[in-house]
Amino acid sequence: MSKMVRAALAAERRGLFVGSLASFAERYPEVAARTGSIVAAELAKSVKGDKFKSIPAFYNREWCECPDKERGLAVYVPEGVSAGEKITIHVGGVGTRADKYNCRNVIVVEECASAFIEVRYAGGLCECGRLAEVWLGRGASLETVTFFEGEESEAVIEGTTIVRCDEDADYRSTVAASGVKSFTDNTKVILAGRGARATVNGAAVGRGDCKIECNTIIEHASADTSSRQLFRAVAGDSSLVRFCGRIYVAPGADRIEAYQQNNNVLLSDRARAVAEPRLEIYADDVKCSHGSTVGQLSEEALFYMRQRGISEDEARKLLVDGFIGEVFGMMGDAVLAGRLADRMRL
Amino acid sequence: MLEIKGLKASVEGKEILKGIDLKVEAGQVHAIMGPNGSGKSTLASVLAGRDKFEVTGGSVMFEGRDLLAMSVEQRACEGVFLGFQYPVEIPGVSMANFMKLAVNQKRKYNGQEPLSAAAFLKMMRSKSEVVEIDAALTSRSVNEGFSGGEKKRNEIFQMAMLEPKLSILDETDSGLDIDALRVVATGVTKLKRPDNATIVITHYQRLLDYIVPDFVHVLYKGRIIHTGTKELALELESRGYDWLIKDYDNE
Repeated sequence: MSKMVRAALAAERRGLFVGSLASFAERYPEVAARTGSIVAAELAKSVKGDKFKSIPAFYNREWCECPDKERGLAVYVPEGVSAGEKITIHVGGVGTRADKYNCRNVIVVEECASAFIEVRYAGGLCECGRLAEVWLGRGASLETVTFFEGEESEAVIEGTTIVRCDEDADYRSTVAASGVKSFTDNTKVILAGRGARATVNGAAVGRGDCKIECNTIIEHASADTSSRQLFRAVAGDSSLVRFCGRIYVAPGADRIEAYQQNNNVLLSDRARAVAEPRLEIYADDVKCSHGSTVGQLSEEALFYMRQRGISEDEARKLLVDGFIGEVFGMMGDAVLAGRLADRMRL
Repeated sequence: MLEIKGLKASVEGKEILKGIDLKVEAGQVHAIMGPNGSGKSTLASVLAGRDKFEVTGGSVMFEGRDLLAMSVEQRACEGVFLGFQYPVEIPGVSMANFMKLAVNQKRKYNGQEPLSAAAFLKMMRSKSEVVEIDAALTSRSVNEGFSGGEKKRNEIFQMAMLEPKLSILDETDSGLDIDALRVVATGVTKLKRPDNATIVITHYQRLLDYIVPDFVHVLYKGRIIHTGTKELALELESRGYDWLIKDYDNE
């Protein structure tokens, strides 16, 4: 817990709160009640066929009833506060060897506040579920980066994030999935207020017989909202990568823009990629597009690189780097982007 | 330096090169001209090692070694450079990273230490001046969004970086306006040394106003049917290929 204590103290100095869910509920009972309602509302209207049905069982509990409250972490950025340096959420810590590790996070960025949060799944995890509720107030901005930080492992990880964006809020997320037996990331963003924006990106590298799945739902609930998604995956050996992305435009949500792009590269003939783009549009005046590709590394590009003296193996690596790297290129933190790119290297 | 004897190659069972003989010495510039479909680009691809083409006969010796037995990257490291007619765009891979890897893999092949970051940057700067390429291009993805002229300049820039012994420039002049053409040609001329050689494959004489060849070869239907000096290019410009082809077809 010392990590958490240290983080809490540092946060305090910067005018924000980082601490357990229990202490968060004590200190900010109203905010806690408000955020708790996101999940309740989502459960109530869970649409048939949603990947979110499969949210782990702990989803159903009110988070303040979480059996191990210390495992839940809340980040609260009050109105107008800029959180400055990044906040790290460790999911599972050093020495965590529990068979099952579940945790909940609540992240609230109030009006005109901003934060950058990295979420690290620890190396020792076996089976892990994480549920995060995120609330961005009017004009708030949040960037998150989620990744597994351990060595290649047999871990099974499933994370679900539900985000609500008020007017003019800006949510940007990047998930880097690699290194585990099974990695599932579910992200739902509700663009609730006019002018809200979301950029939801992901990169995946599948090795061995691992399975990586990214499911997104972007709900344009209000007019003049915009979203962009870019998911890139490389599947080697006999791995499976899957992207299921849904864009939902509510009736009356006019003048919205929603773009989704999913590109997959298969490195072996046993690897598989599944792309399921879905658009559901109930408004008239919208700009929406989606595109999916599944292919192999370009033979032309490989030949070009080899003609410059680069070995076939290195050329493949560089091409994969470049393909995946475009996702990281959109991150705000260039140093972290570089580290993630290194981690994803074949 | 390069000795091609009776080279035959085919693609998907169709014979494109039907017995090429060509000898290139260090310090020389050879131009290969010929009508469309005569096999010019195929010859360049076969020398570079593209596996789409199957070599069905003949031999190619490069500096006394069997070029055809080498892999694509081995040929490159030995000093064979192909300037592409259509340079390939590689999204997400910066020119700087690409060139650094290429230069260092070649150095490794030759038993040299890799260049330090500082030395590499210095080299990039000095070589980019040769082809008047905007230094900003080197931070962009390889050829991505480059104009036609920029792509061709970039080929010459890479040639300058890799300092090949033999450069084969495949229609480097196609799609260039006159200014770009001059820059590219001047770059090639500046890079000319007594110990390297260039094969220029071109459609038009105008490139040869800037790059003066020692020999001009006419390739037709997979064979070199005529060889001359730089005056031949001028003659081809005014008379076309018909007179040569007619002679050849009558043979």
